[in-house]
Amino acid sequence: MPRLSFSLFWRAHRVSPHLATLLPVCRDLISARNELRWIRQHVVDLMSHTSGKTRTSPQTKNAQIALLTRLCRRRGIGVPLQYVLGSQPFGNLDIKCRPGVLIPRPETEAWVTHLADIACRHTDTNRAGGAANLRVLDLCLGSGCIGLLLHSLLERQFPRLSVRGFDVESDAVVLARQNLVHNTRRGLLHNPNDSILFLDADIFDPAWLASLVRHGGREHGRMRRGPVVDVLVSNPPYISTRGFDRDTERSVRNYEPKRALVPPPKPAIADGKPEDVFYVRLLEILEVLRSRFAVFEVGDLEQARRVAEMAIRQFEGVGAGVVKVEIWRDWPDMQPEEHEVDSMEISGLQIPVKGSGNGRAVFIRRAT
Amino acid sequence: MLTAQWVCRRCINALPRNRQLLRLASTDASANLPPVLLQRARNIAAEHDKLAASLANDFDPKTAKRAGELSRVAEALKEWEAARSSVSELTTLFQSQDAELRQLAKDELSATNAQIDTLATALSASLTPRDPFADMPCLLEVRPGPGGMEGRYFADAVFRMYRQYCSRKGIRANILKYETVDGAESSTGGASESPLQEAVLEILNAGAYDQFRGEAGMHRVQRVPSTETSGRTHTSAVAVWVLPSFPEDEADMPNEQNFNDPNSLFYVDPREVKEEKMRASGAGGQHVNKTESAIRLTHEPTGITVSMQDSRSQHRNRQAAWVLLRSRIGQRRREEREEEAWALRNSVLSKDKITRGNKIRTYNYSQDRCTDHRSGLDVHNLPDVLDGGETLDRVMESTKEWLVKKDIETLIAEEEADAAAAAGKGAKKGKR
Repeated sequence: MPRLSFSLFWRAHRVSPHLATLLPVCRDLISARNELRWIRQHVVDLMSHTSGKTRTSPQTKNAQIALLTRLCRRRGIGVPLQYVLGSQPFGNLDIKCRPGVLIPRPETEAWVTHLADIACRHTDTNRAGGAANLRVLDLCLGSGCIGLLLHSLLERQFPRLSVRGFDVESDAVVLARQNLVHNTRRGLLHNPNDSILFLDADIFDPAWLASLVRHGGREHGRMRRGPVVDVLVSNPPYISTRGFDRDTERSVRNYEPKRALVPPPKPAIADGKPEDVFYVRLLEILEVLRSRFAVFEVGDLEQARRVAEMAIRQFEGVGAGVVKVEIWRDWPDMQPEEHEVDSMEISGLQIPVKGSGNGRAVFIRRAT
Repeated sequence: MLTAQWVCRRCINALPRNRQLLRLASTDASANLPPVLLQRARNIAAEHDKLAASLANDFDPKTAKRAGELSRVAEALKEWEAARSSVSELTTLFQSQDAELRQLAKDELSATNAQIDTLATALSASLTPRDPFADMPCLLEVRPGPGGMEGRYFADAVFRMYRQYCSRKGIRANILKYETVDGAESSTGGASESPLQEAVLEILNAGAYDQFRGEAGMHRVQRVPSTETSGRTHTSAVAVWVLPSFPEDEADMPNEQNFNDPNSLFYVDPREVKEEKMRASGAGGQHVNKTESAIRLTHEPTGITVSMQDSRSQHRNRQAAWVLLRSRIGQRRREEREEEAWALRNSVLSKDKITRGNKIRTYNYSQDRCTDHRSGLDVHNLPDVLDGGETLDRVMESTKEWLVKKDIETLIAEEEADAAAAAGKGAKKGKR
């Protein structure tokens, strides 16, 4: 990291000492100014919420200043802003954040929105029964942001939408449930008769998958060869050990849970890279559940290529044209830049690469 | 007593004795109605009656709508005519032999005469074309004019003035954008001001556009800035734009101006808009945790750009940016359309058009005075104006009256031009 010039600190300090506190983390005045405004707003909201008075007495004023100073100092040493403020907007939702659970990223928001568009467009609403019912499965749910945003975006189109989320970390599941309650209370989500359910589970556990299939089959009334789940989404840990040491930002490395970022070593997978272990398992689950849409977030274009290749190999048997694979960049809706390729050849197939930015997600669509 | 502000004694002496020193800034529409307007009002009322009669037989939504539009004029005319007839009645009573009756008639007559003036103004106002955006909410943009930091500080004061005005009046408003530049806060006139770059206030009440449209223009300030060491008065300017905005609920939209309709002034083809986001130079995703959520929209055909970074939510920033972009494009298109209309009419009236360049109001701190240059109104108690208090009400009210008068004048000129053209045609035909 280049050293910040002293004059920059001086300029920041002249506006406000808090700005200078935030500068080492924000690296420039514009974002420091924004963060200071957000922290200030948070403090004002918090104080007016607790005291319930509109007029500020000198005591509350002092308390406000003390809190502001404390929060700015915490942010200044590198604690992520979302942990300092305890929340992060995600789409139209407000997701609570807590140390120990991964913070939702804007790139995730972009692909979730894009997926919701596709699910709306490619589901035949006229078909009886099938359309009103959409089952979403979110694996490695973390704060629950993906499942909750999908529910909020799709609940109008699919009245019988159901969302299931699993995470191995019980802290994450607790937070996800809190987020569900928090957003339902604010009227951003509607959760009639428990259509959203978040549970503890290890997705590598064969018994869990078997129970999921059994449960899904029974829910459907009769056993058949159709999909058990319609949409499978996941934002698994995907950073390599080396990447964690070299490429991650300091606030991520020091404050966010490593378990949500770097996959644990699994000796069972002999070939392939250690950071791809989750995708191997996710593709197995996808094959069993026969989902119509699946999106897995990945770290970069290289990893996207590897995952796409695995997917193509996995579904070679089901016949040509049944399974389509796409790679999405950070912003799938945006026009690509000139230097960004719009397709890639993987195992003899042309795979489209949509949008602009880094390789961010692999989309797998299965014709029913 | 002199009505002018201040005149040097020498100048008074140099002037002819009996000259009146009056400010002639305000324009007065004639209290008794010009015949062209009366004729037009009668025509409209006749049409309204015909439509109402046909509506009684069978209902047609189109006719009903037209009748609704005309009813404003018809009602105003009815009231005015009623007042007129009572005046003539009273005048006959005035000739009566009975002294008591005469006195009664006299009292009544003065009251009715006062009433008839306001009714005449109301009637002429009802004849003026209603602003197509009048029923809409609006966006109020404040930007500093050229002139360094002082303009920026005053822009903050103006922005706060409108914010407090809204909160005092109970008008729903929220800050869409509030961007400042580097620099310490300055305190002038007891309030701290930040150097403003651009601020946008979204005023959500229906009809806010009509209420605030008179505020658009250059606001000039004359004061000694807090940064000034030798005590000189500086003059700088702040631009205020008022743009029509969209109701939250699309169904509330007047005039069927839906922004999804390609014929609407506000229609923006999403394909013509380039969206830019802050791109992470590094790996992105789980690797980084950036808090920037800035969005920039560029409308390529017109080159209008809007950037928004106020909220932590990219989603909300995008929505706000779209609101602002639509309003700006709508306003630009409307200006173009009006420009064409003015060129067509080839009228002298266009010189009074309010453009962004015109200085409309002066805030003079040392004289504790606020002057509206269009209505010619001077008010004192500047702190109350800048706090959005009742003095500001008076200023805004006078502006509104001025706007109505302006509209009436335009209408009279148009009607007279039309009448003259019709007469010319008739004369030509007669000659043949």
